[in-house]
Amino acid sequence: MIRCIEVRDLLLDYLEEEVSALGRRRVEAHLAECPSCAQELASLRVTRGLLESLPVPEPPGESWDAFSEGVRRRIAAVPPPRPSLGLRMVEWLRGMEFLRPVPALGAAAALGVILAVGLARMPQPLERPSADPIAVGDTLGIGMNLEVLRDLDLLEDIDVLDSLPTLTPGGEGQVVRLGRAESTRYT
Amino acid sequence: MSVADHDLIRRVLAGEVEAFDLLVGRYQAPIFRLTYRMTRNAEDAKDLAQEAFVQAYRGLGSFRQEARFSTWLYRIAMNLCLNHQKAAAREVSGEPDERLRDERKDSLAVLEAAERDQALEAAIAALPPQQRATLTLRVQQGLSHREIAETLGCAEGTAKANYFHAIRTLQRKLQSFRQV
Ligand SMILES: [Zn+2]
Repeated sequence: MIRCIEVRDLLLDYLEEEVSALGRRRVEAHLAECPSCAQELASLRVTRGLLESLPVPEPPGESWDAFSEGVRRRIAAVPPPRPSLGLRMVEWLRGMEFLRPVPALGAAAALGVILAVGLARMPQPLERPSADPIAVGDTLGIGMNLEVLRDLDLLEDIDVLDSLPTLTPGGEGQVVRLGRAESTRYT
Repeated sequence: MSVADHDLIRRVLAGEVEAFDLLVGRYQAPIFRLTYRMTRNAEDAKDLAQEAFVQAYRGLGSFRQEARFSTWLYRIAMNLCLNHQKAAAREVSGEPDERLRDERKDSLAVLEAAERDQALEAAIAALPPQQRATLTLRVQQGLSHREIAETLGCAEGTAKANYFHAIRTLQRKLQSFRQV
């Protein structure tokens, strides 16, 4: 029979129904004969149940309508978001499925687009506050790398999450920290 | 859920910014639950939850359509919470443990549900931030270990281990003063 120490490691997974069918049978066989492990399972179940039922208040002094109204007010100062260059390029390439069997051609086309769009945008960064100069630079850098372009799917792996702005204590509209570099945003 | 998140995002990016309202309506409650669980302060939680939507809106143009919007949004909110805690530098000290000790003296049977919840809240607040974040995403938001890993930017094994540690710690703390 499976030992207590092994069962203990499985109990939480068992409780959350994340063990295999075989694992479940082994745990159940053990529980049927081991009051101590059965007690441990009961304890875990109570703990988890208490956690799940912890109350959360509503946002203070207002309804959810007021909450979303607050969000609306705050984003009113933010320029409307536009698809990033990388995203538009991926969408565009998707529409050109026939290029897929010819990676070199696809890569060349992609590079052309990157350069064309990149150059077209460069002279006017201030007029388009939503355009992220760093994102453009990054995409250009990646675009130059034909190794990357050979596998178009890799384009989708540009890790946008890392370049997400994070809040600084100063509040919004000031200097935000980007994943890779410091930069001032126009808001 | 009639319209997919991704369709709404596409509409926002196409200039129909009002479509973002629908995303806010869809996720405001779960995001507030998350920020409240992380801060234990309704006012801060509201502010952070609203800011999460603002940042999501701001960065919507670079959101990967392959990703899940909810995971991305949770990640933004969680980062805000963790930064907020660092900035506020009022990491929970020994105070919650004090409260637990006091309650331990009481007769277990008479613990009101509210008191018990309070003790549990305090025990959660005393967890290291990563464990607290993992626990919240798992229990309150119902994310898979994999989604938690994506949200917090860690390995799936780490997310799972953090969750196990958190549950065990809470279980131990509760055990010492009531029949859990
Ligand atoms: Zn046993």
